[in-house]
Amino acid sequence: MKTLKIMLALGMLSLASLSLQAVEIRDYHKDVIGKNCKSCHDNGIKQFPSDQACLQCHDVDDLAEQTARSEEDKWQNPHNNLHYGKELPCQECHSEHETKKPLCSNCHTFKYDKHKE
Amino acid sequence: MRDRRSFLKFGAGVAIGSVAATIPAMASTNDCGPAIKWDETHDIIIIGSGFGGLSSAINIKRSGIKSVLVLEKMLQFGGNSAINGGWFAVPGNPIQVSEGVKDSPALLVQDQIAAGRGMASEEHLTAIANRALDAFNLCVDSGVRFREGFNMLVGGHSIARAVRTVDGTGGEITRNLYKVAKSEGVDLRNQQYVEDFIMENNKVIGLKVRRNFRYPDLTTGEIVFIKANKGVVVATGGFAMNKQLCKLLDPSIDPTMDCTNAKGATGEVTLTAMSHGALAVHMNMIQTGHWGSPDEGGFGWSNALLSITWHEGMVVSVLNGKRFMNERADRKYCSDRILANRYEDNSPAYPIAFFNYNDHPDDDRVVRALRDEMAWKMDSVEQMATKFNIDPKTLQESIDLHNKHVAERKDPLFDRVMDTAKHLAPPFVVSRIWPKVHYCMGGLKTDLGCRVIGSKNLEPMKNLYAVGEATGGVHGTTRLSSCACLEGLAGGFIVAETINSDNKV
Repeated sequence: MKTLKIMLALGMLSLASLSLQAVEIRDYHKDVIGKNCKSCHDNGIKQFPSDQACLQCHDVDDLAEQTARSEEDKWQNPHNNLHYGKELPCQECHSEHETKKPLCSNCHTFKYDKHKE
Repeated sequence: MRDRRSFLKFGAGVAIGSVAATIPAMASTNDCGPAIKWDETHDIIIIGSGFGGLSSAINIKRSGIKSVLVLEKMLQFGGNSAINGGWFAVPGNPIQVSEGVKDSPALLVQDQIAAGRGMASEEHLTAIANRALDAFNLCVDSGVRFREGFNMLVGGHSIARAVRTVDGTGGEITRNLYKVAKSEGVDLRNQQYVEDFIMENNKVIGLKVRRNFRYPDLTTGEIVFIKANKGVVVATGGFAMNKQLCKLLDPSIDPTMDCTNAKGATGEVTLTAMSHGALAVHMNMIQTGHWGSPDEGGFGWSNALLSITWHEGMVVSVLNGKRFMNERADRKYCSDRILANRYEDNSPAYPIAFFNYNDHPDDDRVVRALRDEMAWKMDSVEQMATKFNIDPKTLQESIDLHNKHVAERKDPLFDRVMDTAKHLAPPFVVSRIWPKVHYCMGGLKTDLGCRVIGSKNLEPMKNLYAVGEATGGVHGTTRLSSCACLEGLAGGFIVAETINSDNKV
């Protein structure tokens, strides 16, 4: 009886731990979104959201302006780059619940100091 | 209060639930055509959004076919085409004409056949080369910018005929063609993984697609069935990024070699077509790009930088400080010789490639390479010898010998064409080189109209077409530089004509 209760409790605790890990979100989004998962999860809670989730609040033209670089490096702008222009989907480089490196780092050694992995 | 039996049942239930959650729904792979509930219907479905897919989409749409859908499995459009070096072989291009350079599709094909070492298809190459100017004009008309007055002789070609996009990448083409396709009513969708073809005997009638797919997780998204009334075009590129498949096909593919490709170049649609009877050829002909750098990932800048070395500079082995190849030859010749540079434990002894810094101090290829540390500025032969552990005396002798050959305009060692070679003197721009897996000459066999040949009867399969790197049997053992862009774009013109011909009443 006692052993059974302990095992059950441990099981529930580990499930709770998994739950907590699964909903780690960025500090800057906690303030705005809080615990409203559906704010972003437009394809259902268990699926990746579409990019429309990001574009509800962020404007790609504004972002391209904010991350613009000097003439020599202008195409290294992550939001308006040489290969994809402004069409690179947000989630190709940004992940909410996990770490993620910029797509560019697959081939280039550019520095993106403001990118939050 | 739970007894032991009910606890075990509870636990088992959780386990079963967990297992079920990790396995995608087990749909039948023999979905029958007539019984299918179609979620959508289109005239033409194009799989892939690189040069081949985009050119096909625009040309098919312009030919009068109403409903054209493009499916891209990745988040971003463009495939390998978006990240390539932007080189494009155009015999008869405007710069050639203005400079009085005589060239023709037939002369291009001659070079390609020589490179194909007896395994190329002259008919296919000719069909493609004949559309070079159409393809070039499609780019220009779509807003693609090429370097002004730029017409280059590149590896394996006998005539300067390669133009290049203004910023040296194929993204200039894919970005612009994407916009044109979209504005002209093509439906372009990302995150669409094609799981299977729906067949009616030997005819493709539609696709089973995982919509909202998130590469590489095959449990994401949901399954839909999309009908294709007039055909499916496979424009999915090659499979160089699929290491398992490459190793099965060519055991000599060296594990020390990185791959230049975008992550999605894994070839599943080609394998799916094969499983339905499509004939594949030359699958073991997997090309390495000899211009890879071990100091950066994937494609990177090295191709651009090394185009200077091939023309002006030289390559030496770090094992003995000597040249070992004709730097102007094609990629198979060069890759084989570079890969032969090994230490005693068989680890790569990366050769070094260098040219005069003072000839190109402000060139963006040089500036970027030095800043990103995939090349180094070496102010003396001694400094270079020290950094790369070469005997300085031997290295100096090799440079002196090269300079003698430059003065004489003749290379008796490797018969390199010396018309652009420079007298070399420090400071140098030096980079290490090692080939990378780059292009698959193998793929689906097509007829001259891009119809996929079936393996059962060696006749075209109905409503199945393929263009670009997804096809096989075109280039033989070596695909020449600047010809992949041509192949993909030209394929779009050819397949549009074929589809219209096949759908005449």
